Amino acid sequence: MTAIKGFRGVTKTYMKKAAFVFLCVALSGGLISCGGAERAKVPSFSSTRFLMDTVVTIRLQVIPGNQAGRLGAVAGGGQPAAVPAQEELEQLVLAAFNRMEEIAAKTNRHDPGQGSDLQRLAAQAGDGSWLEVSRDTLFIQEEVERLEQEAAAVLPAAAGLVDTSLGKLIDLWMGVRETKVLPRQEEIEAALALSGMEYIERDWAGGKMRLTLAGMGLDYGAVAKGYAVEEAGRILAQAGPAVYGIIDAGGNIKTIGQKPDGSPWQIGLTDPLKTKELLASIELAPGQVAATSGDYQRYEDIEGRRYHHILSPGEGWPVWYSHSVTAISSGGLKADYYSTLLFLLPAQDALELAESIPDLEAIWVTASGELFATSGIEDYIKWQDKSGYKLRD
Amino acid sequence: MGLGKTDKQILAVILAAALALLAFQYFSGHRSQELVLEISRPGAERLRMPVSSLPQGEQGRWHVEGAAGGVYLSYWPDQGVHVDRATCPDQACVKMGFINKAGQSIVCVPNEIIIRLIALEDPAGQGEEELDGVLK
Amino acid sequence: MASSNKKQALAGKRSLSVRDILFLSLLVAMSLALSAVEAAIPPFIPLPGVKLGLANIITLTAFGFFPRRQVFLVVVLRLLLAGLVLGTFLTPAFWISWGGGLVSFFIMAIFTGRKSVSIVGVSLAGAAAHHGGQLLMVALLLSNTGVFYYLPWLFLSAVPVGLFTGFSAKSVIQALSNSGINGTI
Repeated sequence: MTAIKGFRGVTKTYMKKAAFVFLCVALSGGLISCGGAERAKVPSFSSTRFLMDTVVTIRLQVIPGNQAGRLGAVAGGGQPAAVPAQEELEQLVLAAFNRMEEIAAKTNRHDPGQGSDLQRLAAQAGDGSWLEVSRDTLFIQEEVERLEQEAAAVLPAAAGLVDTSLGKLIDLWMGVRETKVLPRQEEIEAALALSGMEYIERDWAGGKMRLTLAGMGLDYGAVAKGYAVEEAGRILAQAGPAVYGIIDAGGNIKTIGQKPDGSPWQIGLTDPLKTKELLASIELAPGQVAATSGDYQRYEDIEGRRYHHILSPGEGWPVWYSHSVTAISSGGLKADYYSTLLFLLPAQDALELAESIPDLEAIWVTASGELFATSGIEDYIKWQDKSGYKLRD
Repeated sequence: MGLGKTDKQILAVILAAALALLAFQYFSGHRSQELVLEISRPGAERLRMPVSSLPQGEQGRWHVEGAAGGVYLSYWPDQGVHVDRATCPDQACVKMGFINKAGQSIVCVPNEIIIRLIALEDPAGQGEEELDGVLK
Repeated sequence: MASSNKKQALAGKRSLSVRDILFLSLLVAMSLALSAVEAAIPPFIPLPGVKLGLANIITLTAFGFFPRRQVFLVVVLRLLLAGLVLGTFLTPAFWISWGGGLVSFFIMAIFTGRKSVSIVGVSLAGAAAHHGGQLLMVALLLSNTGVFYYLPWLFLSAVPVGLFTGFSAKSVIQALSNSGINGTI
């Protein structure tokens, strides 16, 4: 304390000023030392945004050695492929995110301005009027119906399972996850009565859609993110073969190009019972999308039972065949669609269906703890040695 | 008139609290767990990436969107995670320097971004090869 | 303390004299000026909006001349006006300053007026409370408790800050008392 006593003795105001300045310098100094980063030698850019209720990260990088323009061999022709500069790379990532946000803006149901396509369709449901909607909104519905036909041709029970018309039922269960009180059967039935994809009418040429049942609402939650990832990937692919990267949207991951060391893309699979740990890692080929539907993603445990967000359009209740299903395809919407469809089916039926659909692999963690996968990906999975699970031969 | 007995006790309590907290952080941050970078914004899901999978050094120009434009991050294996640039007027998160221990965080209040290092049990599945992403 | 009689007299009174009001407004103005100075200082921890708490010099001075109720008024007016003057009104920095200002006021109000605690002791407790209160507000704003990582560092910095504001307030009170301002109010 001697220093303080000394301080008191000296001419007050001058010393006070000096002490003040000293204090400021002492407390703020040492923190200003770190400068900005230098420019990257190899063009590379990562970006994280918060959209569609999740965190999306896009990483894009030029394969080292290519930035000097020595890409003839990779491109395959005599002409060296154009290698994007840092700014072009950043522009591409920006454009990809803008595309995703465009899709999110059209297909979300919680836009405060009530201006999304799905909100306007719900508001006008049943009054007979056609609404102009975006190509994305039309395309997603068309694609869901096409995928449904493809699946139902193999397994009739698959018809109508991935239902984009469950807006009311999903709202009901969202409320349940907040109040932690289970819905009454009448409420479920009332919500189900306001659903059905047969009430969705599309006019592709006119760019219009309408819902013919008053009170119904669409929800693209099962497929919108996969579609957005696919569309973002389409933009990033413009970077050409000299670039590799990844779109990580939580439950949907897409790879872009080949890693520079030639090693396969390695993606971790979350353990549904211990979500801070991993259950397996899988290898993905360039351009593939993996999508996971799991009972641990959005849920509420009520009276010892897990009431999650993947609902049966027939019963109106969560479906408990599996803990998680991961679907892999070259199409983002397809992967997202099938991760939900396969989750909604008894695992054995789902496996048989997945085996006969081209460009589709899948991995199951069933409710009984059984682990298995389609034959096309079996050899590319590394399971963790975990108790509580058993691998099916 | 210097510091009275009670004044000194107050001073001692503050110092003791600070040192106790520091000691707690020091000892709790030194377990052999893997570091995971967590990026979050209020009301959104969190992003978690094993630090070992982050793009490194000069290669790691990484933009994170925020309420006021966002921040640029980079990861330097020897030093840690760092905010290179930010859109906030005070640049507080840039002046923060590097974080490299579990529990440390960089907060950008205008951007509503929290960048945090946490220690997770077994996050990357003890694999020999690094993961490129995790399906959540 | 020279002003204690005055304080007791004021505590019982319902209305303030013009002189009291004038003095209080001067205190608000001075604390506002200190807030402005503080706003120009670079942040000392990586949490924007978290300030040293130099305006506590005036809060402490006010405790020397006025009962708690009037001091509270000085604090609230300073927080409100600082927001308007510095352009932080209703921004995160504004709420963080409220967290620091109110928590430190209540802690200082508890310690003040005790024989065993000098103004420097009150200042130390107030500085620690000021920093803790600001951090609490940051945690609330971001709904994230990770920011408490900085609590020990904030406590450590509260010691020089508290000593500085404490001794400053002491000399301000002495100067004001010597100049007769106390006697004539």
